[in-house]
Amino acid sequence: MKKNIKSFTLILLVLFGFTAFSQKSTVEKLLSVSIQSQGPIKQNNQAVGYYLFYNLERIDKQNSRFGLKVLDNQLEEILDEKMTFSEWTQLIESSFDGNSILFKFIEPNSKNTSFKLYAFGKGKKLKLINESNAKGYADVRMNLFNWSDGFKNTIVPQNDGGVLDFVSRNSEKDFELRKINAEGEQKWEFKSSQQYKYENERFGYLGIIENQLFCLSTYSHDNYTIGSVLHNNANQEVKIFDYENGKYLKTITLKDELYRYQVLTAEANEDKSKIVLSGLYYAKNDAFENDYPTGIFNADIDKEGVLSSKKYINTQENINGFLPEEIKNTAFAKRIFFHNIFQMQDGKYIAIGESYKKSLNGGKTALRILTNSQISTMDFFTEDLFIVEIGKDFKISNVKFIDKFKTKIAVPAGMGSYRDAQLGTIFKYYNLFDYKFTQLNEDKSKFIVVYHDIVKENGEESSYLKAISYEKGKFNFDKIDTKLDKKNSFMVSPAQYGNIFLNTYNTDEKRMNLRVERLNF
Amino acid sequence: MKKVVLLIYLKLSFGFAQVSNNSYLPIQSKSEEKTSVSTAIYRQTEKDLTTLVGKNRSDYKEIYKERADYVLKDLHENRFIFGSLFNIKLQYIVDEILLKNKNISSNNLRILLSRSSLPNAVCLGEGTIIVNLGLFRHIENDSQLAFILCHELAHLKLNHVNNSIDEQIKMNNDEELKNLSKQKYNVRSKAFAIFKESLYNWGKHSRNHEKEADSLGFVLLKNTIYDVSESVKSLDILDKSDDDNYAKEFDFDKIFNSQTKIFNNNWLNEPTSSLSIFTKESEKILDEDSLKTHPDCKNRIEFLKGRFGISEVNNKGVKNLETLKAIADFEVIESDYLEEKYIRSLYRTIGLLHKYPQNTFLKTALIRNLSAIHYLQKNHLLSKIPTNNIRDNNLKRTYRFINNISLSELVNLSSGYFESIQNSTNEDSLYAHFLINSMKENEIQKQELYTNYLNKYPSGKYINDLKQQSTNEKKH
Repeated sequence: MKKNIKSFTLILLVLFGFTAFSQKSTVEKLLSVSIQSQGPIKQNNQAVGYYLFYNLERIDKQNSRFGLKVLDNQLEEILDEKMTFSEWTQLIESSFDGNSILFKFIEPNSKNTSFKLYAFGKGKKLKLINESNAKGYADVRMNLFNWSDGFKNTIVPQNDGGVLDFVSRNSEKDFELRKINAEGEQKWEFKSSQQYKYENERFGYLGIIENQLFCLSTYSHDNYTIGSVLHNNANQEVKIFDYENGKYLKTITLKDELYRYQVLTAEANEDKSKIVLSGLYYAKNDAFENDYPTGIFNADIDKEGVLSSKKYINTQENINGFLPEEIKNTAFAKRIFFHNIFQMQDGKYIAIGESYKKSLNGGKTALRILTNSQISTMDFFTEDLFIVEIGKDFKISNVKFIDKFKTKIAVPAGMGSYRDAQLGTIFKYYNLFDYKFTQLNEDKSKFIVVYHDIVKENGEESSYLKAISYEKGKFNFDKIDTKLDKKNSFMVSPAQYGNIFLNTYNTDEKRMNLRVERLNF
Repeated sequence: MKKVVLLIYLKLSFGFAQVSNNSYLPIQSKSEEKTSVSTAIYRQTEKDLTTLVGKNRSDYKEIYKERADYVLKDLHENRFIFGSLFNIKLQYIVDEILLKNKNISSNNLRILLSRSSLPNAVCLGEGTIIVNLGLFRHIENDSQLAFILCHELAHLKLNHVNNSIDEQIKMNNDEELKNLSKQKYNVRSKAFAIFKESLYNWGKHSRNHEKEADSLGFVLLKNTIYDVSESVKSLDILDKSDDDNYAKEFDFDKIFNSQTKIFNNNWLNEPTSSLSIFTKESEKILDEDSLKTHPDCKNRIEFLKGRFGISEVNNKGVKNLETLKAIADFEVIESDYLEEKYIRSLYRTIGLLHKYPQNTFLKTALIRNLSAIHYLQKNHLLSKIPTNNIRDNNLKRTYRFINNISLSELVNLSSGYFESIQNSTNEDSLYAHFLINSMKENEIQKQELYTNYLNKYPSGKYINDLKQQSTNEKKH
């Protein structure tokens, strides 16, 4: 049937209809643009808009003219600006602090990498507020073991109108943290190489307690670059700084005599005297990169950096009781990859997991591949989704099991011998699981989980985006046909609660269609 | 001539009975003519293709095919109406124009009535002139309609469309443009500069074409029995035709809440957005006039007045198209629905319900459109629609209403509305009841109502819709 979709269409093809009929080929080729980067604009973890950064044309050997378009949650245009940067510039992140939209660009050239921070404020002018340069090529990829959405932000707006800027400077084996005030002036900076020497370190923002800034440091002690999948001895620590002047104060190791910890989320407690950490815990001698987590942990960290009120759920043992009969076995409960853990308004915790396994290649074509090079004799499957409800006593009260199509991912040659857990981390890093994201509403009373699934109808397999909403103890379901095939691909990101941005691209027509899709809850 | 006049009088009398406070029977288009029109267009296109010579032959071929497909596709999808009072009126006027203007050839001439609700007419350049149903909602008399037809016939006579095609192909094969694609730097800017100039020139040519067509159209009209002074009035009407002539501000409460308060005015609220502090002002690039369906009308009026010495716009002309106007007001609701423009159809239904609050066709149309929108939203075929650039405030509020209402609220609203209006003995009501049960997924009741309707109204106006929906075929 004919769709009744009205949506914003980026002008990949400019239509100048001189008569009722137009010819397209020469016109389109000359006026087409290419998307450099795109994504949601967030404010306090809620999506408030969408940005599109696209390359219009090269203007000389080094530089290109780009377009930056910003849309709000209703796809109304907020900003349409033309800018000149070097050809490989990326817009890597955007956030809104209530007054200004911040944009972080990374502009590499042959000698150095420039990080540029722009702001678009009420004066309705886009202006450069800060610039920092790193020698050589700076790799902005996230650390393999830091997969939580909350820690992917490298610009964190502050209540005082300023912003914390996390900058990687790989060639100098440096990680830099800067505080920029509301006027765009750099107030202070911290360079890790001046204090210690960690390889492949990335910071994540945890919070502020009494003028002390807490950051999550994820690093590994090996010679592999940040984007490598071969890291050894990965670790997490909490680093504490003086928020006023950036002075490095101390490091808190995230391990004790029994366990080591991998933080997935962090949040201030009610009176803002502590930061509550949630994540996974491992046996003391187990490795993030190789071993299954033992379970889920929760702990407070105070202004002195003391970890207390530690709570644990051994998921390997405790989830089994809640699983359907046919899959009740210890091995299955081990192989749940936890994508997200968060607390709700009523004090309950929710953990979103997706089971997976490795098995011998069965011959069927993989839905996803990591690389176009040779594949091994092994396949990796993402299986079912789990929504684990954890009460205030930090015991599992319910597990919602969501049966899903078993998605096959081809394991590249050389990785066939990797353990399941290691493959899980690698495929999470490359976003190959079916889980897409979780939306939590502003007062944290309800949430929506969005994931990809395949549905078999009339002997044919169709690709769907599915959504599960949770409100007042009840689950509801919705699904959207993505029309994914050889000609169409799609990207999905969270929009305003209850909505998603769905971006589909048709390779034949070279046309992109961005729309806001309301979920039926 | 007397026979024809009598026939028209009878048809119009019958036509008036179709529109009343009680209900409305949509036009049943005669499909026999569809085939002959398709064949004529196909043959014309083939003939045009065989005469093509020269180096840009493939470009012309592509455009001619596209032009033919433009009409053939709409024909196939029943977007044209045949055998109605509107068709008779159009043909009557065209016959008079051709009779009095022997220099206009009737060979390969096709006057088609499109279901489109836009107030417009277009000449395609190969003999097809399309007049939109939406035009009849605005024009007042035969003379105004005659001028519009003369204008389109003038475009045909002066070969404007084919000249424009020539220019476009020339531009597309422009050496400078082609050479650009071999260049590395600033390609887009240079291409845009060439385009801008071409667009400006095209705009200039287009305005000149409109003047020429107005001028020749006036001359053609002068030879007929029609009043030439109505030519400027028709342009004046088109200038104001973006106003849909509905109530100044829709009273959604009044339409939906006859007995119980079921309409939530929050659904009409502008959606909140944290970034709304930056909302870009619209119409920065184009001026007010250029956004209209009929730009430049004021200039055209002045041109005609100056050229032919017509006095001021005359508001005392005869208004003899009131009946067709009334039918058109209803029929565009059906047309928009058939073209799957459900929100537009809903907007028009609400607009007309202000004038005919007891009309059961309109009340059913309200539910019919809500049901269609429900189906689309349920299957994620209806995304959110940006509303900032919608000029008509009632249309904007209608879109916002649909953007904001949730699926379950839509079912409750439709159901509540039906309960307040239901009359189970009426055909419209029975169909509406079926739709409500379809939205609520009450399969058993839905099936009972379906059988009931089939028994009572075996040739009823909703029979096709009902059959498709009862078998869960995707009507929408």
